[in-house]
Amino acid sequence: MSLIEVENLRKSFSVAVRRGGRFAALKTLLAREYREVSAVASVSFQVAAGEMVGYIGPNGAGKSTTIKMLTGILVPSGGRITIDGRVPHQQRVDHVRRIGVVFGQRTQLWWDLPTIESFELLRYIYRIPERRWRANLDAFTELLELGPFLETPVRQLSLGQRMRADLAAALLHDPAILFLDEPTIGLDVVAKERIRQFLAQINRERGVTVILTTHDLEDIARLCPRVVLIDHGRVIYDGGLEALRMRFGRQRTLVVDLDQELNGVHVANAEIARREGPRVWLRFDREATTAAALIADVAARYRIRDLTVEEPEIEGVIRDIYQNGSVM
Amino acid sequence: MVSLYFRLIGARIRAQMQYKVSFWMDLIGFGLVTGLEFASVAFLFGHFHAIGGWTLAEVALLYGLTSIAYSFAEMFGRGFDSPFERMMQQGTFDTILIRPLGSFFLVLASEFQLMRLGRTTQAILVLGYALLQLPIVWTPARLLLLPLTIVAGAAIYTGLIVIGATICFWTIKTPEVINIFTSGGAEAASYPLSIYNGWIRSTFLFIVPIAFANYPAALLLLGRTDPYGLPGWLAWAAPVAGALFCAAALGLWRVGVSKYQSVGN
Repeated sequence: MSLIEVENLRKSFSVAVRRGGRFAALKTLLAREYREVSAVASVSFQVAAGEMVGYIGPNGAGKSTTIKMLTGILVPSGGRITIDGRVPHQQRVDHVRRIGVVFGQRTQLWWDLPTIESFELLRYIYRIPERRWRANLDAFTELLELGPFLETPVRQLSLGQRMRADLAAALLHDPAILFLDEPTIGLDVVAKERIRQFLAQINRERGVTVILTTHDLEDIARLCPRVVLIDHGRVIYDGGLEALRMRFGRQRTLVVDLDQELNGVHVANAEIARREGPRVWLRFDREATTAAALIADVAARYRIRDLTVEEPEIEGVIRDIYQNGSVM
Repeated sequence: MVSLYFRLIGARIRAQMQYKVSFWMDLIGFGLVTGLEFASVAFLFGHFHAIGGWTLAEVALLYGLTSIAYSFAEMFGRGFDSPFERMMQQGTFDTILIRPLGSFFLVLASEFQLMRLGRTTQAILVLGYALLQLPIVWTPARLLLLPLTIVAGAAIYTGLIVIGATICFWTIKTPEVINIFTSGGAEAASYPLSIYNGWIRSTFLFIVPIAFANYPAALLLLGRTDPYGLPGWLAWAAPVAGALFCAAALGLWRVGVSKYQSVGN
């Protein structure tokens, strides 16, 4: 059995409908009408212990809602979640003892107190044995360079510092699974990189299973051998990054340096994406033709000096999916 | 659990002390403002010598008991008050639910409003005045009745604040109507229950039992009889009323948590 099993997970919210017309506010107040809005329509996947999975999708796809159900915050409307043999919302207290959660957008630390005090309070909340707590705190202080601001009140930390402190706070009790919702949001390149290195390290060395949602494609490329891509509350892809590119990145580009600049270049099964002097970018669909056939075709008509085939970049692929809202 | 509570509350108090000047100003200001409450009650006695047959000192006993209880509820139950509404609006209740402890406990331990000591101090002074003025025959049982009544009253007011918070799970905002019962109730309970009409009396006894915070205890201590036949021994039922009301509030809370919708990111 996998560590995390999700089957046909569903969540819909009832949202009060605003009415138009005269006295709309009064009508809304007196008799509310509710409309069911589906956030997660049907999501199924499994995660084995030790995996690092990127849970991605466009805004409003249902990422955060799924994470909130996995962490026991929200009660699913339907379907099934089993994590380490437990149902999160039913055995919430036992479940959350074994997981760590980091929300990029809000801190779980005690806002007005020195950072170290949050770590101390967590020791009592999770009843972490003193020695274990000390060892973890020392390790994280070194890895995340928390030392300089342990005595600083959380409200005075920079976003990057706060994020590092939140990460340490989520891991002090040795959770088996770490859930991260947008852990690098709003951070600069250096801060992002430090967090990525840390996540890779705790996954590798401590065997912590990591599930993360992100909009930062670099996070995925650097960290996640596997991605689960959701859109409109459904899983539309689950697998490796390379395979994602193959499946959704159908557009490849043949870049040809012609012998001389030509006005009209016509090739079957490809369109001209760009021209720059004698260099022509020919975009083609991998389903419609192969690079070999296209090269043969171009070579038969024109004199070629050089050529390269460009694969779609993963960033581009996912951005396309995000922008189109759907790939189906 | 108890030691963890004090640890968490201690953290909150230390956090409040980060803003020392503001803290002391709040504390003193709050004491003065609540002091005006009893002053306005006392002012009435300048015109009437008794209200519903009760003298100023007797009304001071009612006021003192209910006001101490209410101040404790404000202090200990603060987490369920406006900070909880903020939690709902900002979705930070999420971070409560990811801790391996009951959500009720964590919200209770999330805030403690020390500044409400202003009301406590003022209410204790009024109660002290009443006890000095009134010819009460003290027995050990009657001495025990005072703290018992105050704790029961605090529990009932806390239950009310919790119910107000629980409504947030459906409406996001605590409806103002709950104030009718909390601060309004505390004020109404400063006068003898017998001056109110039937349905108000029933509400304060059986539905929102804040009458138990003072009235039966006052009847018993003063040896008065209630015009509607309410027995003085009912004072001993105050802890039961407090426990039942809190149990109801807690039950409602559980239902509310399961309806929690969080907020979008």
